[in-house]
Amino acid sequence: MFWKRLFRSKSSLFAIVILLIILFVAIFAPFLSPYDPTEQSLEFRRELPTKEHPFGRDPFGRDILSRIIYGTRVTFVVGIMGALISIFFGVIFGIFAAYYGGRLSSIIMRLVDVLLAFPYFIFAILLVAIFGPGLWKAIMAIAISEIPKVTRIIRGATLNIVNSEYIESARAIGANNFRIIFNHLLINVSSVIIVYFSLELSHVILGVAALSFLGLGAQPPLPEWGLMLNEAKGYLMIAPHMSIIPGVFIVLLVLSANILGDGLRDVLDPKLK
Amino acid sequence: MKKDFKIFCIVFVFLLLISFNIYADDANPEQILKVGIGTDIGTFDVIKFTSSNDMKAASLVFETLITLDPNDLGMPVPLLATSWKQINEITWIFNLRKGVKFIDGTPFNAAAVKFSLERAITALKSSRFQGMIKVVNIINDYQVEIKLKEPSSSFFTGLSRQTASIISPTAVKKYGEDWFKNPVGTGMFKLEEWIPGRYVAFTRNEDYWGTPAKLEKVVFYPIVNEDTRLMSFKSGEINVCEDLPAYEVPNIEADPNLNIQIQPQLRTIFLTLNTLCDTLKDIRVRKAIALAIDKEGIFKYVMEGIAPEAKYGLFPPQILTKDEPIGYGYDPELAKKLLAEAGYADGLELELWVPEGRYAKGVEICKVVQGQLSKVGIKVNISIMESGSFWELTSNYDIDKKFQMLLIGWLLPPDPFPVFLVLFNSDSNVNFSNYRFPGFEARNILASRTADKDERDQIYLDMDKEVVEYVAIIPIYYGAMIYGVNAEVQEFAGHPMDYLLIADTWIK
Repeated sequence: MFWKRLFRSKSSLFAIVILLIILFVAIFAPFLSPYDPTEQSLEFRRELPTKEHPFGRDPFGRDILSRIIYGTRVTFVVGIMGALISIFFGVIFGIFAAYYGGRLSSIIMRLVDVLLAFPYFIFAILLVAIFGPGLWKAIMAIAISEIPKVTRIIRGATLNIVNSEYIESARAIGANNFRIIFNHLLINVSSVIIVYFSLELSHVILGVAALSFLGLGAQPPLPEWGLMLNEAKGYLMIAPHMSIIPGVFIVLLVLSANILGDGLRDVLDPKLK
Repeated sequence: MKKDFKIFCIVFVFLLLISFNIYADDANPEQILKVGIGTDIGTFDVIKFTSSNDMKAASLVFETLITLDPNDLGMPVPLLATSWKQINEITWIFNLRKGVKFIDGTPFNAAAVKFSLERAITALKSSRFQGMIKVVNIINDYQVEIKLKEPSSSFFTGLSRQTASIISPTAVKKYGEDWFKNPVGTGMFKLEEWIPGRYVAFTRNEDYWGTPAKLEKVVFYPIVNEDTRLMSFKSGEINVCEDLPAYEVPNIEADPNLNIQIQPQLRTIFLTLNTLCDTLKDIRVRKAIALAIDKEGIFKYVMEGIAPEAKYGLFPPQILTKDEPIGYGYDPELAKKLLAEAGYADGLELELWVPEGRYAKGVEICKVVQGQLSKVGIKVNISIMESGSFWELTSNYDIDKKFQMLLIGWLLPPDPFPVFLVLFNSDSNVNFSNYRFPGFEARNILASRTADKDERDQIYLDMDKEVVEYVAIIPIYYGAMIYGVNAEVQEFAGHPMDYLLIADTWIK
């Protein structure tokens, strides 16, 4: 039933199709990719698109199409893991804060405020300064800095129902806390969780691409799209295709995840708008 | 409405007229040299230089006793010293130039020389001050006697470097801790204003003892990003651009308003290998790494054919003449064989560290090396670090170093002694290769005491060959500074030791 409503929106449909295509490419990358994404051919560096290399080659002579294809895998892992981390902790903090209230809630919310104080960029630099650059550190940095937002939303959504009658009745019957949380609260905020998962997906992907562009995330020779932008930026005047193509794909993916999130929100819980 | 419009028109025309006067009169152009450099100046304190750009700035405000002829680097040229005489193996007498004043009015004399040189020796812990000076004695106001610790062929090279600049003793006392940003010297220019991260501005020293400079003002603009620097140069915001990206050279040469000057520099970029760490201690592994790197490919495709391949070991032919190449060529098949022999048939993993933005195309070279080594089964993990942290983490005296391979560059004085001393000595904090052979160190000292240049050079040549064949280092390219020079700038040149020769420069 809800699918029909979702599909009614053309933009959501478009977004879902794009995401499915990219998922397909990510799964079947080794079969679809014409070349090895890390193989360098220096004599052909910065080559413009040709028949054999439809997206041209990067500053090290690597085929850009192959790097885009394998890049979908990196981007998916980045997005899903990052979103999972921020959603997971956000949900736990949010539900507990809303359900138990009082001191626990204050502690959790103040902790969350501490996290909120760090812009993700600064937090990423901190992690990198301590532990060295790396894709996982970038994912952690972004995911952790997104936790406050999710926590607040989930807490808000939970507060809406935590004092409702059926929760009280459940408690009256003798259901223990865990049961209430998992069976009742969680299920009821699940629509919120789904919506925010999609939105977090887009934020994490964009954030990690930005950090990789700055050299703080993905390390060479990983075919991550943000890192490709970093490697291409010195040649904008003579070989813009090396920057434009990964950029377009980042935009496409992030936009699709965002639109899907919006569409889901419209369908699942118009009250959230 | 009509009245407002009239007022608007008047103001507009007025502004328009004013704007035409902002442009300098072409018949009498402003004599300002605006240089875009890669990294910011750290300090003017000659004993605490953080990079060759500090020395570049210092060379405008300070002078040394002698300087080296850029066309014949073995030849000392009088500067603040007019003549000199050797008394014995370790003693020299220098006659100082009369009538020279520091910009604060203090007279330049023997006391200033003694102060400056002795300050340099006592302050530096490592043997960076390549003068081996023991003491400076004042004979009279314009004569000093310099005694060395032991005979040294690199004495004059040491005296010519900015670390041996003659500084005003009164100023050092007066400014104390703020001395590093208030340089008082005898040079052609004086520091006018320094805003870190924005610019360093110098004005002409009108009381200079010699022929004053033609330029009225020199400004260094630190622009770290090479594309931004290039854009500044193309738009005319700066009239000299250092480290111009090599791929832009044909475009700049095609532009009638812009020129290219390529100055070979005495700086070699090379990989250092920690010869005592587990993965690299087997020489077969190191040889394999050397054989797997296509240096000619790097020269052609990364350096765009401009900075020459380092075929002749650590020292370029301008310093030590060589007939044949030193080191290992490019043979990935042999590399794989050697790795298998050493027990790494299944490949191995290595860490390569590089400081960001410090060396032209340094990061690109690391990525190319990563790609080339992966073809023989070696997985390279690159760590691109901020310059300051890089040097902090790698400069230590430990045998147990935390790094394996580094990509670094080293400015080479025309005399090899100090370089061998700091790069391959057990008591040096920059012995990145962990090269610890007492016989080697002894030969270095022997060479510096050898009076005959050919004999000396032969010893150094053998030492160069030795470190390359041991694969303590893998030289990649010899530096060549690409200057973008606006056509209006006349008689500009760079010195092979990375400072500017602008005594005769003027703006057309």
